Amino acid sequence: MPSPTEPNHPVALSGAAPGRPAPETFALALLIAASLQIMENLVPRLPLFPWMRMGLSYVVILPFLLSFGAEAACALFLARNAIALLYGGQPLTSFLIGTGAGCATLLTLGPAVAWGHRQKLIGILGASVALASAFNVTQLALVNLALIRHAGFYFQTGPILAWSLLSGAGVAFLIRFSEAELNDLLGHSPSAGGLRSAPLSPAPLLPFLGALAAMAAVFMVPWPAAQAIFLVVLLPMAPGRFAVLMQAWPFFFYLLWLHLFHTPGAYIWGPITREGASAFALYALRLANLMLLGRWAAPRFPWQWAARSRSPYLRGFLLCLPLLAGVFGPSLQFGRELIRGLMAGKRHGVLAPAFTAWRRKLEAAAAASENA
Amino acid sequence: MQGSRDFFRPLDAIILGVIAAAALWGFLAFRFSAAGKAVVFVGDARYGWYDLGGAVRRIDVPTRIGPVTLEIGAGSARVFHSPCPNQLCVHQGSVRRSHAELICMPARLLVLLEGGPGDPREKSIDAVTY
Repeated sequence: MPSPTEPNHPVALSGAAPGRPAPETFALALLIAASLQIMENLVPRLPLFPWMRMGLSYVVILPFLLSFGAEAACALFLARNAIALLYGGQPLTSFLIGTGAGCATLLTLGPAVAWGHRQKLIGILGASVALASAFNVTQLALVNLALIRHAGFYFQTGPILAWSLLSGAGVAFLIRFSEAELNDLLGHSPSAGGLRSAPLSPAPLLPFLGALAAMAAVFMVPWPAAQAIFLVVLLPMAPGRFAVLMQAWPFFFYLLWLHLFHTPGAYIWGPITREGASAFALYALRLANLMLLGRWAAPRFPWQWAARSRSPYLRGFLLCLPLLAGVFGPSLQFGRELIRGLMAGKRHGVLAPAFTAWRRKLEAAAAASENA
Repeated sequence: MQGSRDFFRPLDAIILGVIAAAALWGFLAFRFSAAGKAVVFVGDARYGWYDLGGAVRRIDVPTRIGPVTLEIGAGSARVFHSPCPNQLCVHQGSVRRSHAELICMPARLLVLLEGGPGDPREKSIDAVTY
């Protein structure tokens, strides 16, 4: 019976540049990371702190960083976020902020953490907590800089650092409990050589570039009246517009609370000042416009540019795309098994079902491709 | 990939301690407190409020005798310009302590400093008299 894994180094199998993962390894890691991200949706979030999440996908991303370096970890993180944008209905603003904070953290702190771990200075626990803290604080700063623009928003610094301690430690323990599965993932490329990339639907470049230019304009224009005109134009264009805006209710809540009730200036009604009302109108309208533009632009991304890429990351991303349509249901099932396992006192191998199932699915899809 | 020694190293304890201290500092440093604001009254009505912190900026307050210019920032407030005849409010200079006041009688203007370091109580005003 053939082994489900190739017992060689992925680097040797794929001929990729040294230090880079094979596309098949990247595809499998991405599937697992996406699955872990979906799993954590089972854990209810604090309504006013939507950015406080476990970061379960770091169970894969952190070992990826330690094994292949910051570039590979950043590519994995970016691809995971792209999947959340394409398949999870994540708003483009959240994608940009999350990706910006994550890539900044992985590219600046990541090399130091990987070096410290190689030198046996930092353990998995320290690396995980340091990355979680840096990521969360960077994300907080980016959200404030790009969307909220109120110094009072930094009241979240304490809670978010405390949460980083807990979530970073949680991820570190899950890495420890998944040692065998991670060794298998990082050391053995799945035998998915015959797997076909996802067909890429060509899209004209101009509408997407136009949307990016419009986003830049929306970001720069400082007049609420101009933002209101943008909104009137965008509302009929964006599909599912009200659902998109409802998703961002915590952002609107903070804009309302901080700008209307904590902005100095001349009173116009009750505790509300003219300056606060003006700032709220500007930033709330701007946020709505950015989200609607993002919803319109996301399906118009010109994927055809990626077809001839030789990057193992892009090739891995395209390899796992055909399997993503069925990622949601099984992931929730794995999540329930994870919670049940932890509640029952199971520790080692608690994530094994997810790792094994995605490897098998990838290899079964490859076999089906070859037969076809 | 990792053994139990790879899971925890002595430097990790320092990282955890630093982040725990930073979290504690975050809880204490970023709070909505009653610190440092100038509340401006014109006649019987509250006109507005301004942070005493940050860079010094000028604010024009319309009054019955014309606009009075206040200079607020860097922890203090003063009347920079007033159309009143005696200019007592301008000569009063800066105030920076909690509950200190700037008063311009002809303009019926009162600037009251609220909160600030050492004053955890948010004290409200019972009445304004001229």
